[in-house]
Amino acid sequence: MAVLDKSIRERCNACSVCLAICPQDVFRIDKTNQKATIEYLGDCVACGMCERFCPRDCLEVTFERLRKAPLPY
Amino acid sequence: MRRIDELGEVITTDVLVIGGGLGGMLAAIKAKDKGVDVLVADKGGIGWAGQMPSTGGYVMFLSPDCVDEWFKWMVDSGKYLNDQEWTYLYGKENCESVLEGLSLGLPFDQTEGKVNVIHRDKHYTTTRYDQDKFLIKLKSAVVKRGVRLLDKLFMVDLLRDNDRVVGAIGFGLIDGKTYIFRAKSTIIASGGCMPQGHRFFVVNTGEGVAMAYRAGAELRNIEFGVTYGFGYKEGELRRRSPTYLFYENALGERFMSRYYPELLSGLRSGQELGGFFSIVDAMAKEVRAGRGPIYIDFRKLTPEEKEVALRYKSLPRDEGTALGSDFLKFLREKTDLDPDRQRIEVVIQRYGGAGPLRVGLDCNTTVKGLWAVGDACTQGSGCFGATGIGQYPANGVAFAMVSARRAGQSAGEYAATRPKGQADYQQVKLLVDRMLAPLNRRSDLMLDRVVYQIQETLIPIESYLYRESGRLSRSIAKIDSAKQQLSELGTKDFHGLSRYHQARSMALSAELGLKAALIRQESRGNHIREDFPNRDDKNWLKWIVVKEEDGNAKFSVESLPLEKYRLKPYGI
Repeated sequence: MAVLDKSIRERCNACSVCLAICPQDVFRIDKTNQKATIEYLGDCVACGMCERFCPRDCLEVTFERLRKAPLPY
Repeated sequence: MRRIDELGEVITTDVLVIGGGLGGMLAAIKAKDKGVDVLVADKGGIGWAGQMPSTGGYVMFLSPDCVDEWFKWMVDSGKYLNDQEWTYLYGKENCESVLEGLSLGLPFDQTEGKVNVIHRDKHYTTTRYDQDKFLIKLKSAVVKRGVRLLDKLFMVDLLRDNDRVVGAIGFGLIDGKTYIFRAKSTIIASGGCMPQGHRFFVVNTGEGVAMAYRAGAELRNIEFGVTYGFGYKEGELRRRSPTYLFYENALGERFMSRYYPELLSGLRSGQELGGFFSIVDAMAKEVRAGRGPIYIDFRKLTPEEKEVALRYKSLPRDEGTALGSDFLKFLREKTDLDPDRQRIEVVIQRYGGAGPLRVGLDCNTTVKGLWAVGDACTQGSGCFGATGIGQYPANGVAFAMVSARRAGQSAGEYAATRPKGQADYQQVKLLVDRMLAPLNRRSDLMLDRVVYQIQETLIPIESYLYRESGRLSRSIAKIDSAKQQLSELGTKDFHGLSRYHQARSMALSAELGLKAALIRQESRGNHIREDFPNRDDKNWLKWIVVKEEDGNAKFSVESLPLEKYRLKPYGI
């Protein structure tokens, strides 16, 4: 799942690319401190797109996902 | 008299494009060239939205003097169920659509203004593009032309004025507002109907197809919209590298030669044998015979074999990421797996989904005022016959480009010459109430479980790949139960509401796909019936079409107009 590490979250400037690219709409922008937040972690499917596209390397994606899908066999 | 602006924010445009990925943005540009107002709305952020960011970076680029040869292969590959007019048109316009893209500033691989051919397959050539820059460049071309863009807008239903589509309704994912769009032309560019499996996660769940269906549009060939791929269990799904040559079963036996010996002798590539389907089939046969799981053991590969297995690279910036080129490095860093110490499991995965909206050569659907582009109509166009777009690497982007040009021009011309339609209050109220209804419901039912139940009919190979009457009927019953649960389920916010509507779209494409699969009593292309294992040209050179009538799916069967077509199967 996606992890927005506290120590590197300082880098976030609310550019909103993560909001734009996440296929599961898990991100929101916290208006008070102008940082991205992971609002719906349970829906993260660990696709890795946010990690790949964040221009400031704020995100890391691990392989666990809380929401499972059936396997083909 | 009540007014529709009491129900939500009304936005008026000439051409409404639902979906702001490759197809949507290109169609918007072509429509804008007709001098009309164009608005593109997407549930994600335009410039990053859709399937493009996560796909392969290649596009078919077919020389015009190769079209006839390619066409013959394409119809044979489609098992003669193609709409041959569409297939030929697609081949003929592919090259000019890529060149037009280049003139828009799209980052295709080029040298001094000439597109480079990167890969020469037996049947077609491909070029590639810079994945990171592609949609951003396209977005800037769109913005420069004055096309309006709306992000994080989840569209749910189309509006009708008698037999014509005149707009749509949706809600803002962030602001929670209801939006009512009035448009003269509407273009569905929202992608295919993906089941959201374990890997190769794609954002498209088929809302555009579903809303067009509910507005009376015909769907065609939905039973063929099934693409399975293969790849590492942890990590990216598909790779162009032929690691499949060395796959082993649980007993440590390399089995590919058992089924497709020509692969190992180098006479044919996996891509030629039905676009990798052969690999899936071989893996499935081993698993069904009780010899699974399937693995690749890099420790056993000779240096030459390793070089072959890891031959194709993605773009350098993918390294170390989930979609990276150095997959072994990725495995070591991101997972507990070490290819130097253990064999690595590979799996089949369901990743492709039907785009069954039926379209004519201008990408016009069967409803006036409504067009479709890209993945939403790859199946329904009939271009690929009894096979799915996912089986032809580099064709998804190519089809999106050809179809978007056609739809954009046609929709733009229509909007330039037609008056605005009317959307009456009662209709809009009904649709808005239905759209928002789950927010007012409370129940113990959990959306995740219902989605899983729907996916249980779409992903397992025993249900959706290897079809049989009894299993299909049981899957259909599961979908009926899922639909019932969806009608009772509640959600607490707009994010949940979007997931609810996605589940609804998934359930619809599952229902229609399974029912069409039950009707077609033969095996052809992607449609495999174990109880009807042979191809039956005598009885089944026909398309299955479905349309909503009085709230129910009405299926019909239509003979192919073979008398119009150049190519006919042997014996017909």
